[in-house]
Amino acid sequence: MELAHLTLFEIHQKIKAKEISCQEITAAQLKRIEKLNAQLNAFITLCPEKAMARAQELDQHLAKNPASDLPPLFGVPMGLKDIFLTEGVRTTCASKILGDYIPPYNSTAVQKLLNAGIILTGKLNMDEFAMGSSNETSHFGPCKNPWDLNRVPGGSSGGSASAVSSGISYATLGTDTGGSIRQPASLTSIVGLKPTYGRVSRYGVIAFASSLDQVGPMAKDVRDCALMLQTIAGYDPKDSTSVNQPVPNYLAALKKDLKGIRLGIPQEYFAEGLDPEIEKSLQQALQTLKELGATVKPVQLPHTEYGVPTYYILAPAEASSNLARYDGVRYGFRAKNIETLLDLYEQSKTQGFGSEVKRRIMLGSYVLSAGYYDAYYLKAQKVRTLIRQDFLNALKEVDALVTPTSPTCAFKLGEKTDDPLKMYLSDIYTINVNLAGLPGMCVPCGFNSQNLPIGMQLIAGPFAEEKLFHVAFAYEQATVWHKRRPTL
Amino acid sequence: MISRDDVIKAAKLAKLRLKEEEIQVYTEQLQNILHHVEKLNSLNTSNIEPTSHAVDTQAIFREDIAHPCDILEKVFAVAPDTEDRFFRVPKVI
Repeated sequence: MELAHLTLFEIHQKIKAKEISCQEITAAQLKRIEKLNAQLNAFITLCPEKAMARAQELDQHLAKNPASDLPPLFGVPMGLKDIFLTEGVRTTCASKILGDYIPPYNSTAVQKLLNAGIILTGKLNMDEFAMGSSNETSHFGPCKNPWDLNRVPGGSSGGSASAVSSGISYATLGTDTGGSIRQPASLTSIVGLKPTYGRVSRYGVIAFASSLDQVGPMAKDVRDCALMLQTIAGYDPKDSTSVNQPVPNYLAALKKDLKGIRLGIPQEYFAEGLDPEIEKSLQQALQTLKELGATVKPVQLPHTEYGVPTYYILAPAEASSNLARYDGVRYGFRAKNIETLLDLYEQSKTQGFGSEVKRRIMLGSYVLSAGYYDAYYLKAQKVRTLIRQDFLNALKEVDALVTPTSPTCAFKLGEKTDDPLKMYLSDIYTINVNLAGLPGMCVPCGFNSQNLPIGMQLIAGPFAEEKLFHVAFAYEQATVWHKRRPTL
Repeated sequence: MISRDDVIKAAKLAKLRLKEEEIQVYTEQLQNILHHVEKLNSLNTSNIEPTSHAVDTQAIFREDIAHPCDILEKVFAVAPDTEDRFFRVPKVI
């Protein structure tokens, strides 16, 4: 098999056996990036010199130390979403306002990956400040879907999904506020996991909506996803919202059968609006899950339809607060020819932010403003309680829920850009999981008649990522979807 | 329902300046979004506690101990305008 399409696990074996050096693998990866990025626009920034220098260091380390002691990500070239602060490497969040920003430190998740031996090749495209479901709001232009270059890869971790799917990053991290790991994973046929809120540190990750954002892995298969989560999970004293609970051994959760596992099918997720080809794939997947030993029963999540409106109050409200810091004073873009301090703030923001970001900041300012706070923000927080209770009640009866990930397959570039509400509905099956703070995972479960990928979402209770890995791995072993790669 | 004046006010609060045509477009778009949000009013939430966070959290306390900070130079190096160890802005008084 082509080098670029190997899994993390397979590369590790090759490096350990000294069949390939870190420099060889990095050089090959950089060459492939150079060839494919012109079509995909998956990378915003590349750092080839740094990558090769790091590969050389790692090869020197390997020459002096036993290969058996290597961490599982040793020598693996990887691009990272441009929302993670990377020391000395430009981090833009796909915005003009951070267009030249070079962070002075690494985010905790990045530092953990570096400690585990990855080689950073560059920073991956995304929706500006992670606001979008198609990767079309990026200041650096849209990223393309490797399965069809006229279509979106999903958002906001679209660059990350496109890179893993096309083999220009062996695995990566995304962030997920309303579905931004799972929806692009679904649209590009990779595995993506949003862990329980608090499982992974958000320190050094540019904030969008702080009570919803969570960092998670995006990979070619379930085992790679488990390896990545194993590396980044855990308490971080630098992030007071990270949770101080032991990290289980996720690889031990990978089992080939589903005996004794109870799965719930939320009836509300299979209602009007779901593409019939997606529904058909999901039904076939359910059949496979039953054959593997799982029992399947319908469950109810009665407040499902209130998720999108709740999210579009809470997320913009938090965003308007988080993005107030981009005032042109301490870092980022500063407007020229300024006379007063107010001018400085207003012109820097007005010239620096793109239209989707402005729309959400204004929506946030409006719902938090005097006279509207109770009617919108407080109301949405109360509905959030109902949505969370729905999930916790359903998960008392079953181990995990099975749902579609996205209501449609990858859509065409420009198809939804003029209608924000239509775009917002792209995350209809993923948003509620963020509101409830639960772990959710997307695994490939088929292709439609146009050869576009279809993903299945699995949802579990708080900190029950192991159950997701168990179900997803058993399913993956019984199917072939994860082995297909786009031709480029 | 959100009006043109509300959009102008929200932009002012957010310190954004909008062109005339933008005010029109945003008013229409925000009206559509908020119309969708109106759906929440059909739920009776009078006895429901609000959730501000998805996991149970408590205030985190730690000892107030100063730690050395060795990145100051790098912080100032990426600032748009500095003088010594200060960020320079237009005169305010």
